[in-house]
Amino acid sequence: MTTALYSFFSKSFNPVWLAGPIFDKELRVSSRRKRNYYLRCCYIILLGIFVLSTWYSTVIFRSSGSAVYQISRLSQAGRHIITAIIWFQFIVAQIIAIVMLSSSISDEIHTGTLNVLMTTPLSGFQIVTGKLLSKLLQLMLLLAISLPLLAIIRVFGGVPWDYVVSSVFITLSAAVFAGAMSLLLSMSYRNSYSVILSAVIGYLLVFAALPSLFSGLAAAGFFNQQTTQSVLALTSPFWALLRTTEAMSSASGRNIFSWPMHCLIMLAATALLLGLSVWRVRKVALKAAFGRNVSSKNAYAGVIKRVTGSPIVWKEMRKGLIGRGKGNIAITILLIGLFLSALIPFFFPSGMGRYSIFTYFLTSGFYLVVMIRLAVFSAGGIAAEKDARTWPILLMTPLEDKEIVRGKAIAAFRRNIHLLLLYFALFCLQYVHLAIAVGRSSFPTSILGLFFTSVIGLAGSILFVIGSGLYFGVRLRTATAAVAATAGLYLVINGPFVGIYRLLNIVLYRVLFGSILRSRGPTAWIHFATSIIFLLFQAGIGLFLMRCAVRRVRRDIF
Amino acid sequence: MIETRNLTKKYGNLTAVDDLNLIVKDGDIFGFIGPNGAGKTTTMRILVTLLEPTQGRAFVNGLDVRRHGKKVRRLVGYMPDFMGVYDDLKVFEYLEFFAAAFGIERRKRKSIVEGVLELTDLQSKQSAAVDSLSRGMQQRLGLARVLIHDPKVLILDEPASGLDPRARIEIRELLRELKRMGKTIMISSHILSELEEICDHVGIIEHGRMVFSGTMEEILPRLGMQSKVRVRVADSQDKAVELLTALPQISQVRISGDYIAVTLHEGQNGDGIIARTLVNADLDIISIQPEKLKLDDAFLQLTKGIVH
Repeated sequence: MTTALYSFFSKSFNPVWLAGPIFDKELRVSSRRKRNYYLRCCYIILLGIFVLSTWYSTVIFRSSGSAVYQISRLSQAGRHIITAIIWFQFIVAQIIAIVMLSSSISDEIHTGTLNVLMTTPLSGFQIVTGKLLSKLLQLMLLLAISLPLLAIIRVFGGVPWDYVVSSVFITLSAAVFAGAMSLLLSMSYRNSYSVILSAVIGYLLVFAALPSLFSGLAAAGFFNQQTTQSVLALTSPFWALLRTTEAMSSASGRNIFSWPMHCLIMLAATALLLGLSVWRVRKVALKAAFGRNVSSKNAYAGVIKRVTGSPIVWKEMRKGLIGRGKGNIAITILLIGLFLSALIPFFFPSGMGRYSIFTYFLTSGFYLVVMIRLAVFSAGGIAAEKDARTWPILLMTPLEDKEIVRGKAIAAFRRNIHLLLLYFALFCLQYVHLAIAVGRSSFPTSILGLFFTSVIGLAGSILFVIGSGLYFGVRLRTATAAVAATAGLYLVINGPFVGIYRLLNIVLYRVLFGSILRSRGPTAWIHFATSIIFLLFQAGIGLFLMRCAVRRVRRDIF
Repeated sequence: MIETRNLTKKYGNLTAVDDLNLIVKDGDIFGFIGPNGAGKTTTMRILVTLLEPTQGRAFVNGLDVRRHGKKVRRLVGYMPDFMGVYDDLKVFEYLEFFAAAFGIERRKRKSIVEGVLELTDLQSKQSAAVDSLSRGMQQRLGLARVLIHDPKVLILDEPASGLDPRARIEIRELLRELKRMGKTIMISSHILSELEEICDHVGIIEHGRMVFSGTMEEILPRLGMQSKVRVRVADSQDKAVELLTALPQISQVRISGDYIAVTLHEGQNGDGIIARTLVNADLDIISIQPEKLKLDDAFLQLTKGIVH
């Protein structure tokens, strides 16, 4: 008995057995893939832009007075920059973990190798851990890149080591959880972009929307506020990092929760997801081995719909606004959940003044999801044809290249119009609340100005996402790569800290409107002017990329 | 109808098609044969405007595929070596979608789709989901799609690959029917015996170069291959061998089981002389059967199976 137990535990905790040949194969393959090197380069460049932008805005742009004064502000700048880097790492690490593992099992199913793996003595556990650990190792490499930077900036002072260490561990545990969730979802969806979409929505719903709701309810007096905040910090990585950052900035420096406990809870949740994945992997393999079960009843279900108008638009719209299959229904339910959770804070008007940040946060989350979905439909419209190998057949028809691209663009917009309208409703509600909070004195100039600025920004973003989505859909082979490239470019341009928009704002304010700003002039109108310029810039890039897509349609068809 | 002149396609250092010249006449079925990686699919993709040649020119119905891409696409029906299907469409919708893409008026589409469904024997499947069809049915659907705009030229890349014998026979019959309808068909296949039965002309390609192009009858002299005859006699097999070996028209005689394999010198037809010699020697002849040259033999002779 003792020998058997010893044998079991020594085998289970042996790193070689844990990782197994899958881990070895994944590392081998990933070292040959160019995209991993591109990813590292992009990460470093983005991090560099991010640090420079933060440095510029906190030290140089806001500086006034002597060099002695500027040096005295270095510790404050160091704190700003480290906080910014940690939040950047936190968000990016989770996104990368989701993207990296989004195709881990679906690719094996699609290429038919999962069945082959199941005929070997490899256990489901080894397959799952091999996949997860190999991708996480690459992620850790990425995170390690910014560690020396954090150590250097810490020299400026003002940031305790405890904050750096705790935030790195919170980031790691969140990334491991995000990866495990993506891996589990990759068994349910054929396309990895569906995995990404559902993982992002699910993640936002569980870790951002629900905690926001509970926080709002606690603020409204339904629960004990301090206990709620502690529980939320223990269970949500967003809250955990938020509270840790707040504690670092506060005078006492005392945190309201134990971060090691939070990490343990996250790891326990990850273990649960991995357990589910191990349980499912063999079932999924068996299902894949027997092929899709299309019963004769299902095969003939539904009526024949006649083609009307543009065949490209008709074909795309044939799938409906939601799409088909259980997976798409699940995504829709999650989206409705996210929308409703973003709506609920409006039912607490008394608490909204204090907690309008939640409304803003949830509305932004919903906006992010809508933009990802728009990117998925525009990039996936063409890349999915390549995946299904229907692209050459379509190009063999006498349809003009611009007709095909335009059809895909219209269909992507029309299939997301309901979500854009929902977002617009949320957005209007948010501004009505803001107008009430600000009072009549500033209305309508500042509020109206902000409203129109945001509407214009939305139009520019839609054009940009559709244009870049189509371009990357034509350019890249897989839909996932196209969606990831679109999202990456969107982040570079629109990112809240790293984006060109921020740099443009800084430059315009400093160079053109510096004097007006200092004289406390009509800043809403300056912001409006900046937004108009940025809209033209974004829409211009979108239209330019759409044109490039048309030109590239017949290149690299196979 | 189809012509290539010094057609070349390079991918970096790799030359997939090398100075290829071929002519397919109007109304012919042209079998395009070659080992894997010989350049068949690349040639076909150039002809259907999906690839641009590096050098040389290709014409379909006198139209340069590079300059008149759109017109060529209206003339040609192309079935690739893979089956790309929109899995969220029904058979009728799938065909109507392509009918619309080819610019066929809405009021005419229904009858055209029904026509091709009848031709390909898919009427009973018109409301079935495309991805629920068997492989053979999907190949038929592929052919139906190719025919939707009534093209003059059909370019079919491995249309029978992966099909069971019954489905292959059905596809073969369908191709014969299309030939009767006056279509010019260029077809590539690895099942050489099938091409042999339906093709008027064959082209054998290797390393991107055409090593033979012509009718089946033209292959024998082109290869310098000798005629072979199988002779069966009632008894005295050794005496028959002795007599035949002495004939100047015959290069080799050997016993192979219950028959004698006779190889004639190039250009000789030995049926008469063999029969006369054996009858004069008072030997009882059971049969004299000329061995027909098979496309497989010609293919093996002409190609070395080297893939570059």
